[in-house]
Amino acid sequence: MNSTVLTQEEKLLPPVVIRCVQESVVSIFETILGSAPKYTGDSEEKNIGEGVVGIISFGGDVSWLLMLAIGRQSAGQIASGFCGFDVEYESPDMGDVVGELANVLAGDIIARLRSEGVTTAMSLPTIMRGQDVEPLLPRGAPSKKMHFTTAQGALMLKVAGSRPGENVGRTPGT
Amino acid sequence: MSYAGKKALVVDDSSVMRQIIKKNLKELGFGDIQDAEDGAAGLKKLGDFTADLVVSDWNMPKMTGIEFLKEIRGNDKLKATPFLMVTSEADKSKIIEAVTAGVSQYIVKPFNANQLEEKIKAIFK
Repeated sequence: MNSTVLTQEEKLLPPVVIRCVQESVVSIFETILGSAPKYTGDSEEKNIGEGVVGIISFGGDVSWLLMLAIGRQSAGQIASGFCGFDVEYESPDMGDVVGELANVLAGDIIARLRSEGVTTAMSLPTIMRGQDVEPLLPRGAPSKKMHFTTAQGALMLKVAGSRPGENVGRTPGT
Repeated sequence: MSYAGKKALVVDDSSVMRQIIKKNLKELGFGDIQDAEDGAAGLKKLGDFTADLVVSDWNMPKMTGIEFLKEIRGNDKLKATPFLMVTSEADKSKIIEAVTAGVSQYIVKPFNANQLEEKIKAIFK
């Protein structure tokens, strides 16, 4: 990591993590869908409504959590772009697709972070489905929501950091 | 190159990834394609299924892809089986670990059918 002085919140959720997440989302979804997603802002109030989320935890130099949320309206088209065949929103395969997309993003983010001097390891994905689903975070954990649009619909990413000794989500490696 | 009559085992904890890879292998001409949801189940399957190619994910519960690869390379009956590792992590240390363990080829997700075919071609050249 570079030697810029970070605030307490930035130490728990460094700007380099947020930047690598944004770059990964654009790069990975451009590869999968054929056109680059557009970043539309970081509103904390905006949610995706009913949808499927994939959550991956990271440990190492920084302990943090990544949540990829895809709304019901976007899920079918994004899933078929990734799979090359149709996936029903209600089917268990839809959860599998979102988990796999989160997994692919996480792998790319790890490589980007490593090139910035930040070493992390990732967990297997946890999948949830419902209305405005979000993981429970420790009190005061810094977090940020990022919104993107694609030709296939909207995506939301949430990242959250943790204090030393606290874990957010699943233990990396499991 | 024709893969007609060749048999493959696809190992991934994601049902969707198994479907994607099986679809691609079928389009390449592979005949009998079986699957398993982790390395332990894959190893069991190889007890009575002679695969010409194993395509396996790295990150899986119970037995990871790298553990599965090491089991195969340590088994006299299976050690020559071509093994294509599929992973989301492009980290150099991961690739070195896989090569050291005897992986035949390595492909990073997301990939398309052409990229998968190139890796399989390289295995069977």
